[in-house]
Amino acid sequence: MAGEIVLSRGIRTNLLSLQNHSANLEISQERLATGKRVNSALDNPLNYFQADGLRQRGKDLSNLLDQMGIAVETLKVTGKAIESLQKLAESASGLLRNAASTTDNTIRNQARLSFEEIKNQMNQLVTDTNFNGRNLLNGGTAGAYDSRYDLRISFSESLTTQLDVKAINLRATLAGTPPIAAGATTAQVVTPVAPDALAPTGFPPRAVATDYDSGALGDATLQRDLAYIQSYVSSIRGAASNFGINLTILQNRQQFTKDAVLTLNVGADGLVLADQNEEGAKLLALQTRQQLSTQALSLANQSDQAVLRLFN
Amino acid sequence: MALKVELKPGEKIIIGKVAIRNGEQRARFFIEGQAPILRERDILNADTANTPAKHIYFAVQLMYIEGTIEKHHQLYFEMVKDFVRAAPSTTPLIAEINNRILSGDFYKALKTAKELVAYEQKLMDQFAGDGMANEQSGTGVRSDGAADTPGT
Repeated sequence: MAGEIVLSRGIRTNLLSLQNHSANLEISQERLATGKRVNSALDNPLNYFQADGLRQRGKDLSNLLDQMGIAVETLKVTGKAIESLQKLAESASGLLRNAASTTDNTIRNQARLSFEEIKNQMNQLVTDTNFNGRNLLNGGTAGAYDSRYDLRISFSESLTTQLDVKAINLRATLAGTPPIAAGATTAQVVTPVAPDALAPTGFPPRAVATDYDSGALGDATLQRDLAYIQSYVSSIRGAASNFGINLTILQNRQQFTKDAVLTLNVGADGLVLADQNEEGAKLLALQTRQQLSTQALSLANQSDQAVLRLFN
Repeated sequence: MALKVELKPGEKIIIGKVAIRNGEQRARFFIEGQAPILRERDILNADTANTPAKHIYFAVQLMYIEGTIEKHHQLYFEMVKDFVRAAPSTTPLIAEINNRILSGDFYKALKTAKELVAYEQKLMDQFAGDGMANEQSGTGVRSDGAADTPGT
């Protein structure tokens, strides 16, 4: 037939191999351009989807990290506010102690006015202590515990583990209403601090006298306020350490999660870069390297402090 | 629910912060309550933890026994990152271990670490197997000892 070119078997084979060659060249060029061995689901479906899944998990964890970051800031703000409250309460306590040691009614009543003023400042501080709309010192309405004010932080993708930082209500305490259950933690991973140990005793209603004038009634009022502010100082100390413990737990978890995300990303990148057949060789190389490194040594040191040493 | 444990003569077990060694007779007992429990066959020490995956297992084991992440966190991740770089296909297993640790479930983390050790063994064996296959196909050193003569 005219116009038709008949290819011999040898030429056909050569042509095929040339075509293959050019296809391979294209793949190599793409890999060189992107730095990835697997670029689409068609190259290696298993690796591609596995890497994709790992990246997705990394993203999920990153979202948790964002929440943790906000929670860490909230706890830091709360900690700073408690520090200031403590200082204010301590100065008030000093003022009242000073007033109690004199019989001069002017000094005594000036102390009373200052005490009221400091209390107002403390109230203001409590109200202003919020981060991202959350205030852990002004939680719940007077007398009623309300979990909506708590700070809840999830630690894992499955959302099974979380840390609940309970809000306390220091404003209500200052205003004279009974306090609500204070800053306890109910995380599954930490031993909760007993709420009662932290509850401020609350400011007793003003029933005795409105001034500190020298005499039985004024003395009793002054002593009552002094006792109150002292118990406030000690209970706020408990709350401070409790928030501090939660902050430490949270920061540790934050660091672990950051490293976990990094691991997922390293793994996902590796999956599309590497050849599974090389892994055994690389692991053997790593084994040799680790034997010469200090990692094994420091692990051994750590185990020496554990019950494991009883096994050696 | 109580956990039933049977120990062979002389077998050891860690319960909580103590190591228990059985006497000369078989012993059977029940454990109630929450404490880290590790049987002798599941315990690695600094000497027997001699591969990268066993190092990771060892670190998780320390976390489990002590119930704390913080002390071992840094070293653990140093090893995990090296491991994942060497063998990216292990990432899903590593991710599961991390997730279990984050959930505070160290025991399950340890079980997954055990899978990791087995998987590592498989990869290493596979490599050793490849090496042998190469030798048989003649790409290795010639077994007959004859020198390769170039250009023939």
